[in-house]
Amino acid sequence: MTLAVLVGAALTLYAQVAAAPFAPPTLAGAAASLYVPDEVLVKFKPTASMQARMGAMAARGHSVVANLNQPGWAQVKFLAGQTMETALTAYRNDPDVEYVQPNYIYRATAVPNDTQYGQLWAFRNTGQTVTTGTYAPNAGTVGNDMNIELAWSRITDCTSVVVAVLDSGVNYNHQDLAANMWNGGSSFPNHGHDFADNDNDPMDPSGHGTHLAGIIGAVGNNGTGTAGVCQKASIMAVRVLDAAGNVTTATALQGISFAVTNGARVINMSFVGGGSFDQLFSDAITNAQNSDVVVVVAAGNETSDNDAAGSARYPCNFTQPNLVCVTALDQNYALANFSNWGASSVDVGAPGTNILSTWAGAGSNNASYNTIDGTSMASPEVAGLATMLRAFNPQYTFLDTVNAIKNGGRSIPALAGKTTTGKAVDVMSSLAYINPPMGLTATVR
Amino acid sequence: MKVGVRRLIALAVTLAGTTAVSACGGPAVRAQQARVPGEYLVTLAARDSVKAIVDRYGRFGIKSIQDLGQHIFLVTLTKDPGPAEMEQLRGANASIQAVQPNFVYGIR
Repeated sequence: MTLAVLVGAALTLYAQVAAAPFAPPTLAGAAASLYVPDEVLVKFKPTASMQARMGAMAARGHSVVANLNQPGWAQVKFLAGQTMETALTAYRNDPDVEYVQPNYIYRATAVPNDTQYGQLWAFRNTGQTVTTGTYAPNAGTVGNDMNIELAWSRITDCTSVVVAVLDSGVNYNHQDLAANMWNGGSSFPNHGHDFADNDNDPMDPSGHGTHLAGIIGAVGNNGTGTAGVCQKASIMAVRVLDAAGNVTTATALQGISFAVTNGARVINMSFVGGGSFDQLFSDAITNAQNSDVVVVVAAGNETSDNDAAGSARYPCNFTQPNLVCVTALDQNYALANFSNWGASSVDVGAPGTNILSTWAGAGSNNASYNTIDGTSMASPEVAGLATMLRAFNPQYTFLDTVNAIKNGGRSIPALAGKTTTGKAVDVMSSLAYINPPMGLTATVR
Repeated sequence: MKVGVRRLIALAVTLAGTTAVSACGGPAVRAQQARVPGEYLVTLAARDSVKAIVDRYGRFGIKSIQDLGQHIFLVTLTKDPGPAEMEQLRGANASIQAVQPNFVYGIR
């Protein structure tokens, strides 16, 4: 673990907690094993002189390990025999100290061993070339990714939250999905329902829905294929798209109602229509809101402004607070050349070009994968994040979840003035946003 | 599969002059919102039955009425009068709270 990573993590956490009231940290449960036992990170107030800072540490018999190259921050080692509680309390009560926290450990072991993981630039952008990618550029900029690996050191299992994929169905027998499908019991033995053909088998004849499902929750760390945002998941397959890739209002209503009624807490819809406000579709989103369900949707791929007169795209342009509309970014975090945008309608950006994921349909088998582009692909990156956030914080409402997604993102130039937030999603920052140090911390026995 | 085929044919008619917008990569063409010809979603007042639909829109030939729940019905007509006339016929009818086209969304 590099110092840079630790500093980055510390600053990320600090940035989120800075606006919150200063509260005693409470280390508990798994969090207690995630910090260096004899170190704390201290942020001195700007008004504290260097002499005062050194004096404060010396008086306690502590020593500086590093100054972290960030204004006011110091990595401090305390004496053997002292407890974390003592150290935290001492600095917390020091008028020259703005903040103190444990020195958390982020473990690289959370990175999955899936054979194609190196191609998943959305999760770790090393500047790699996506060998099966057809979108140019197919090589990117190091670090322009979802910052998910740090988050995986805290959570990979989202099975407590059902996420519904309303699309062309899902190949629920795929080697990288079978273990992560929703258990529909005897009523829905095939993990969902098919409203396009009106039967109980949402098998995917095209591949599109299977691709989205893999982005959300392909089984991770199984030594096979790809990994999803959630390495363990509970994916509900709701087929609403017909063979031509279309869905009507009526079918969408049925699909949404099914998902909500059967316990989904996150819904992904990567389809778009435009031109007319669809009251019943809007009402269905509101009904989902009333059932505390987050709905994540795609912005569309017409290289157009969804806010322009006559260019509204639904469901993206619906205004319910449980709705998150997502545009697509390329490997350099530029807006993808097909992506729609909208300063008042599109919320965040996520990787959406050269996305490798599970596949189905003609010519495929249960071990097939495909690399495609679209805001269709960006949307489930965010749906996976929503699912992870709700699994990590079971008490969170739809609004907490949406706030964490939007506020936890990181600002990027390509989205300035193009989305409501100007941000690309950042998984670790979203986790930190909803679980700042005052909640992460504490053994303090 | 019959339902899917029927819908596919219907969509082909509607989409002949338009192009559904897309959420999956590749070029897409700006278009009017597509709808399924002859299909409308009718919201009834809680106390009323489908008879209200037959009374109001039977003149266009009703092929089917499907209950979608929450007092919403998918009505398929033999002849399509268009959304404007459907709305005009609804008028101040207290039984029929709303009528709208069955819009089409896409992923292409």
